[in-house]
Amino acid sequence: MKKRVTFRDFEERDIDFIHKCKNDEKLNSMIVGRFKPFSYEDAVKWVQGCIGEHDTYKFWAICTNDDEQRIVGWVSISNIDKYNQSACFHGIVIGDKDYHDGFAWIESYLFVYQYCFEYLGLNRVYGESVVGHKQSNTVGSLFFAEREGTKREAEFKNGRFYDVYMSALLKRDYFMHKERGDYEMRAILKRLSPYNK
Amino acid sequence: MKYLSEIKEIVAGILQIPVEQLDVNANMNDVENWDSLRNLVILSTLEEHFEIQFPDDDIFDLTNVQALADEIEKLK
Repeated sequence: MKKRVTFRDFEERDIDFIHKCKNDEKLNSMIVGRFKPFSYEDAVKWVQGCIGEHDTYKFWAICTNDDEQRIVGWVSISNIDKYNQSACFHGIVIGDKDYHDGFAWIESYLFVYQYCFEYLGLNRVYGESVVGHKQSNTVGSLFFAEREGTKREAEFKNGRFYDVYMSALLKRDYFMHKERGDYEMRAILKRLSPYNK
Repeated sequence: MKYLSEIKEIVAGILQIPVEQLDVNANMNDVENWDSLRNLVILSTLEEHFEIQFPDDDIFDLTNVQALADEIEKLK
């Protein structure tokens, strides 16, 4: 299947988009992390901090799959630990509503797993999701990440506490499923059908 | 349109909204509960139900019930 999005390093032209998304309370309502007003200067600093290579984290702009490569969201990893060969899947934000069809979201996961396991050679990629955020909570079973536990009332959002799931995908499982074709878009779509439950 | 009401029933079921509340021309972003995950579930469910495969060139544009019905009509 053709690609819905591509990935590139952050650029100065992304600042306006980041400023808009970071101030969108609805967009931030179920993402791990605290929502707070974000000034334009904050956006400038944030984008500058994302640009380039860093020892412990990496951010990518998720872009339209055309010559313009306009930003539609971002994806990141953090806590890159070369000794323990692990990293935290920090999160995906799709800020452009026209890209809320799910394909950009799936492709972003595949891109990050490929980068972590095939480029960085890591052994474990872990992540957290707020319980009740259906997309994030479904990712584990969709990509064969194992749920490893629940942090109770670990996130205060929208005026109340939420539990947070912890899950991780190991290198050996990633390559086994990749070999089987389980990470092809068509195979992922099939797993989502209630006919296959 | 042959399949429209059947498609409407399936989509409304996935979105867990009353079928009469589903505007066939409304874009997914304007329909309650039609989020990215449910959009993928809708596409995969319709492919299995009608035993079709949406063409790669069109699949990203199938973001309302009418577009889904037109595409399925074309493929059947």
